[in-house]
Amino acid sequence: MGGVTIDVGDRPTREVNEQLRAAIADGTTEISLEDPAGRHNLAVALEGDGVKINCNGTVGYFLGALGMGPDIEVHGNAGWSAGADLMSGSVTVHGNAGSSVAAACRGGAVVIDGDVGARCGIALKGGTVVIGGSVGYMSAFMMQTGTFVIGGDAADGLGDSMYAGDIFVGGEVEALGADAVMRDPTDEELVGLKELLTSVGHDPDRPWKHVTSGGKLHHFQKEQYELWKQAF
Amino acid sequence: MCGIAGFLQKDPNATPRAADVLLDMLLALNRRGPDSAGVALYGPARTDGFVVRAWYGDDEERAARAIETLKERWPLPTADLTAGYARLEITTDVSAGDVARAIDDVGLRVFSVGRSLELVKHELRADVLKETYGLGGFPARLGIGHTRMATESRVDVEHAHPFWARPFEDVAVVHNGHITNYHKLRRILEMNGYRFMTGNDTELIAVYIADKLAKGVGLNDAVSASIDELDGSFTYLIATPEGFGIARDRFACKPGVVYEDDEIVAVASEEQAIYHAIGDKRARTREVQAREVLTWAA
Repeated sequence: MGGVTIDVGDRPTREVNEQLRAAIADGTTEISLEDPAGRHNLAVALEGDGVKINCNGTVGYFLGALGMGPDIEVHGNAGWSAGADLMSGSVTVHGNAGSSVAAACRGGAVVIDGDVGARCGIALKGGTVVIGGSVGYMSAFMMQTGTFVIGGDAADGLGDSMYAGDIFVGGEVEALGADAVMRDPTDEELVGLKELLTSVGHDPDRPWKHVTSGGKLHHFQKEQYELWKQAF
Repeated sequence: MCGIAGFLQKDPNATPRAADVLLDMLLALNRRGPDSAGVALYGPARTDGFVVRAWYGDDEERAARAIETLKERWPLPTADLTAGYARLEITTDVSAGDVARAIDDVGLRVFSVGRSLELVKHELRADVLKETYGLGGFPARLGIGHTRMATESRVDVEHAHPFWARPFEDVAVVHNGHITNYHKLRRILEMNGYRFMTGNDTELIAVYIADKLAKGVGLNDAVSASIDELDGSFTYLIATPEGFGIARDRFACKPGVVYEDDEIVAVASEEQAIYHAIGDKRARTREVQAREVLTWAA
């Protein structure tokens, strides 16, 4: 089935999201959200593989959160928690985004072309996060698995108390968080990174560093008391 | 929650539209703070005295008597009474603090004293505030505003934001968050002779920064110092006729986004307010980062 256009403007969010769900249930695969006007909670908790949703303008908080399947693209900026708790599908923002982007995702991909605020990828449980610009304070805090790529700089506390997963940084890291360690990526990792970044249209040629968990916080050991004190 | 917003037109010769834009931004932030709304607007500066905004509540007769008493002391070229607010133009060469004390003495609640600052706030939605007090078309190039969801102090007109930094003329603050070393800092400032009119922590930020400015510290340096000296969560805006600024706490607890081009600066809690300010649905806004301080000259 062809595409439909949904106007947001001042309409109630619930009404817009019900219209989105109805369109997907009808078999629509191309949906345009016009005049999203920075509104919150748009296109949340949608299911539908192969569904493409274009937001023509800036969106507010929780854009596409809890999504399972749809590919959502924003031509503008996004607010806090864009793509949070994503299960599968993707959220792409051709602009900047706020804090807590891609928080606790379990799958799918969140791609932001510009800069984001604090706590990006916090408690990441899977999936792929690609930030073209810089990330704010305490990003990837308690990350559990998944891939997190930062083209620009990372603020203080990157990867603090992360359990596992891979962070790649193309710019400067202000300071690593507790028990996050930095090393050079392997050739194999760089090949994978190049493939990923080329597929989302981001520059793959950066002086990449690989940040992972040091593993010292996985089990409490009395002799590492000082490290634990720092982490808390 | 609470919503904060600020708007500046950089060109001193631009046709002033900050009041209308700011009130539109606050309407977009209404859900962040349905308790009250308020604005601090910077109009044309008076050279021979002050403009005062003071609250008289519902006793208009008492307000009229208060004005008569003030007139015995100073010329008042303008003395309007509108829905609880007295707007007074006072011709005098005494300090803003002296003017504020004189108005206290006649039984009005002083909300602002300045050469150009006019502060209007109430338990009303932004569009109703604008209508009630005729703020549409107010000739300001700079203004900051607030929608309040009260957490720390009473919901009434006095505890609504913005706050004037008594006794410093023309300094105003709006704030989203709470200051946890409030009592300690308040005691220190009180020992230095400052008087607080409410139990609201935002009033503290206003006086704290204005005190530094009065000691010759620049706006950016004063605001930067607050990042470490104020404890708690905050994104706040401070304005003076010379400029305005935004600061965000070390944990980036409370939101703040900024838009700037050659002509304007717009800052707000959320993108949707900025969208209302500039009308361009794809314009690049960006989040102010943890510990970040931005200031602009007016």
